[in-house]
Amino acid sequence: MGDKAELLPGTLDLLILKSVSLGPLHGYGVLLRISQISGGALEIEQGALYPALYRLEEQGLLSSQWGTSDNNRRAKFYQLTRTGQRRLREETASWERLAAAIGLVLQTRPEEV
Amino acid sequence: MLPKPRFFLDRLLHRYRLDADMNEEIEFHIGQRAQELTRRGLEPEEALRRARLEFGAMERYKERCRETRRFHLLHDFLSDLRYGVRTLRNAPGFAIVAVLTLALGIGTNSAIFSLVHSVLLKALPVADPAKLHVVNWSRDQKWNWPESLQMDNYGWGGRTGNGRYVDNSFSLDVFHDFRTHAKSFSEVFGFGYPADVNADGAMVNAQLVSGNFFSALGVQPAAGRLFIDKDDLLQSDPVAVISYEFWRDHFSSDAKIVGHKLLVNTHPLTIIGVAPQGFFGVHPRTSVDVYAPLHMEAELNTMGEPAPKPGEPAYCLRPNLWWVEVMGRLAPGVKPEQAQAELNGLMLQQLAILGIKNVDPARGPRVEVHPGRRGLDELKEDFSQPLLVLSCIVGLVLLIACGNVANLLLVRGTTRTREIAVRLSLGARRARIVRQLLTESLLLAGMGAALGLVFAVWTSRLLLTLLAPPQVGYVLSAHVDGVVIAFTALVAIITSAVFGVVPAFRSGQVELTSALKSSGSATLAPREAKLSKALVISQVSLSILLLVGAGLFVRTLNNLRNTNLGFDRSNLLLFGLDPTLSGYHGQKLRSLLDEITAQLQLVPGVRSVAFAHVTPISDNMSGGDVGGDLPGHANDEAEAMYNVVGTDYFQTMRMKLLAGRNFGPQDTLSSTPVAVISKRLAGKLFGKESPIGHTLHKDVHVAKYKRDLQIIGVVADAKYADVKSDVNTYFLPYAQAQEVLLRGPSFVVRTRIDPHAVVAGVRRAVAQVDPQLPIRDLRTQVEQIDLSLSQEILFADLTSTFGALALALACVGLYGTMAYSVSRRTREIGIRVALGADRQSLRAMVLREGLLVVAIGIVIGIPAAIGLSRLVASLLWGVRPIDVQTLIAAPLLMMLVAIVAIAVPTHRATRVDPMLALRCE
Repeated sequence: MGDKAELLPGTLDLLILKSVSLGPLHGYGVLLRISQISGGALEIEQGALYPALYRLEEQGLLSSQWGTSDNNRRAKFYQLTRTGQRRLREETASWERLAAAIGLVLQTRPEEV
Repeated sequence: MLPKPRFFLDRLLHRYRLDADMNEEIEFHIGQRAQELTRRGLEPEEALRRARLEFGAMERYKERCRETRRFHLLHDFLSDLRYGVRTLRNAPGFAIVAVLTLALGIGTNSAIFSLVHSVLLKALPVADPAKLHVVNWSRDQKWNWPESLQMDNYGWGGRTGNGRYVDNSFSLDVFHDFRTHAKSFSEVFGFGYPADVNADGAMVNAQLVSGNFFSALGVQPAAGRLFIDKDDLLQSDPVAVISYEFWRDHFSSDAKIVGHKLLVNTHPLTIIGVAPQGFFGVHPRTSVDVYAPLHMEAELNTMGEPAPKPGEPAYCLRPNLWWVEVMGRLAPGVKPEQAQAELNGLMLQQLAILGIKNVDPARGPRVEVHPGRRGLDELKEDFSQPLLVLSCIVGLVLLIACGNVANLLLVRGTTRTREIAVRLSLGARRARIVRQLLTESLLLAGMGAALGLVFAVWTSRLLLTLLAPPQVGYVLSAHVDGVVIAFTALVAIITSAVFGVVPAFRSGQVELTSALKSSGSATLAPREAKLSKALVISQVSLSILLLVGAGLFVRTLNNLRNTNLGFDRSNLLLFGLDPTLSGYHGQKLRSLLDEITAQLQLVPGVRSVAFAHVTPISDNMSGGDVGGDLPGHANDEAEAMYNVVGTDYFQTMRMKLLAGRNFGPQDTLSSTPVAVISKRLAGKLFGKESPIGHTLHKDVHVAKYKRDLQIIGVVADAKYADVKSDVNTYFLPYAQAQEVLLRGPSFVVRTRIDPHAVVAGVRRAVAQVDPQLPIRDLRTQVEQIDLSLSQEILFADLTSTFGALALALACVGLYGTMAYSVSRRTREIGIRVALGADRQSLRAMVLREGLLVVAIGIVIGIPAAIGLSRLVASLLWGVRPIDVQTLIAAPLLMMLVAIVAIAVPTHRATRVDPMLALRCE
């Protein structure tokens, strides 16, 4: 496994929203997308994805529809709702602020204090 | 609490599909992953295994998905509820009409159910009532006790379905054998039949009970202590336990009641304790106020037996006096049949002691053990049929109410088409909207049920007094308790489904584009209009059922009230006395009756006065088999009722003497015993011959009461115990009667004026003779007759009330449907007017449409009414179940009221302005 990072609590939702924002995906697709865009660095347990998807759908951030997959099987596709898009923007912004702040803190050298 | 029904519905409608969807989704995931792994070179089977492994704890994840849903459903439900409250607040008129209609429908059902629950279903308020059993014995009708035994039986008897005769009393010896030897019962306890006594000047019910009565029932005292076995011995100190209610009402819950000497008849009993609140004994029909130990009968003599000769045992101890009723608690694991066999053996041993051996089990006495969780349940027989009929009636009313609310919802659904279309276009699922509309129905039904409960509390009290007026002597109670509330909630849920489902699904099927384009006016689409008419048709036919029922019951009551009784019921005041309870016996008793009669005759407004053993239509009958002495017919027998009467009885009652003479001063204790017989009995025993001078053999089968009487007169037939049956009667003069027949004499007072006006004078007259003598059952003859007809009055009152209610509801429905039909056709009517149609033909057109609906309802309702009225045939009197008059009157009334209901929409149709109508769409 080597270079893989543990997922911070609460970040799974953000990752799902982000990957779905690029186009409708079925559950397995979400998994592939996360792995693809993180370059395989982020590891999630596959089953944990579904409660998260259900929760986001019930919160109205995702909507779902049954469709056909690439290999012609019936699959449930998730896509971002308007509320979901707004939430993604907010979460992204707040994540960036947090990451920047923590980065800043961690880069601080002794003489700067 | 609230979401439960919703989850239930959900489970029915959605749960299965949701789970299937989730499984399919996860299987797809695993399939994709396995495919990927196969591409990387794994064997397909191994790939599948790995894919499942990587997925993780599948069942746990599935459960977490379900939880998300469930939480969400609750959330949805609450928000639907909030939304529902908001929309109803915006349509207060609709909400008020719907809630009131439902409250009426649900409330009447709750009220009747509270009666059914307490009168027919609720167990005795004792510990573990399910274990209680009643012990009876039965015999073939032809089996008789040997005459030499001089048996006396104080139990309640009756015929059972299998033709055997059931009796519920045993001798003290048999009871003691049961108690000491029966292993199949963990407890056996006994008691006498509740008797009227005078306790500290109040007339109350007293019951003699065995020492273990309270402990066997598992009842705890409210004060002091209850009986133990040592209280129930012949030599024990005389003690009593009183009911909580008697303690509260008569002694103001005096804390120092224990030790008080209660004067029961003429015997002082020391009160040792108070039974718990709500405990009424084991006869649900009678509330017992004073309990005394079984062996106190030797002193109290509630059965009024003659005192034993010196040296002889007390009457109640005799083996040939069967008077103890028996109940018990089955031992764990014992079946009733086993207990029955054991007790039967014990009873047969006692019968052998009495000289009755080799009893044939098919014909002779045999013990029966029956479930006794409700005690000695006489109520069931009396009330199960009336309550069943009432339940059906209120069920019909609720259905009609549902029809109205469904109609309102249909119409409202059309006004909400645009709202629903907008929500659909914003992405709401149709199922979600249907759910929301159903929640609104549930909300309406819930509010209706809450209001209905308030209504039920009030109505059930009213119904109780109608069902069993306080004067009849039994206490019925009904409370709105947890069970009734649960019933109401269930009815509300079912109701909301009945009236809500169809309109909700109809509204869910809104056509998006046309709905958004339309003006949103309140018109019904053709399919809704048809549905609405179908609803009104069913309401009309249900109303016809109720109206026909009302007609039959009202006619029954009228027939009963106006039937010829054979005596003059007007201006008659009745009351009873119990002088023997105050110590009047023998000559003293006879002179007391004469003195009171004389005093009463002096009361202004009184025409004449007489007294008798019983008064007519008091459901208080005594009788037996009698025979005549006509040559060749000497063995003919007839069942006859008797009455013991004072001298002026026939004149006072205005019963015509048809032949012979009345009783007179020449009939004394020492002269020949005489009788006056009714015309019917004369015909039965003597045919066309005059019975005067012939002999009447009284009580030919009961050695103790057997006597020969000389017939001196024939009197016209009169109704006796009730107004329904014609019976044979014979009369004995009080001067010759045994004292036991004079114990509770009733006076009949014929007045010149309204009998109520002489009540005070009558009370004063009695008090003048003995101020300590309590008067009981003071009422007019007409009131007494109505009391005996309380069930018929209840039916007539309730069915006509509910019939009127149904009629009103159906007509409100009809009005609504027609009004919408007219507004839907405004354009068509406008065109007709523009083309020159006159108002007369327009009016006829609308009227025709409305009356067609009513006519269809009637055509369906009448055969249904004919079919159903057969079920109540046994409750009718003087009316055949298929009563042409009623079957004509009910639809006619329906039609007339319908025309009034249609009049307004008809009028509106004729007012249509063609220009406006053509522009309006």
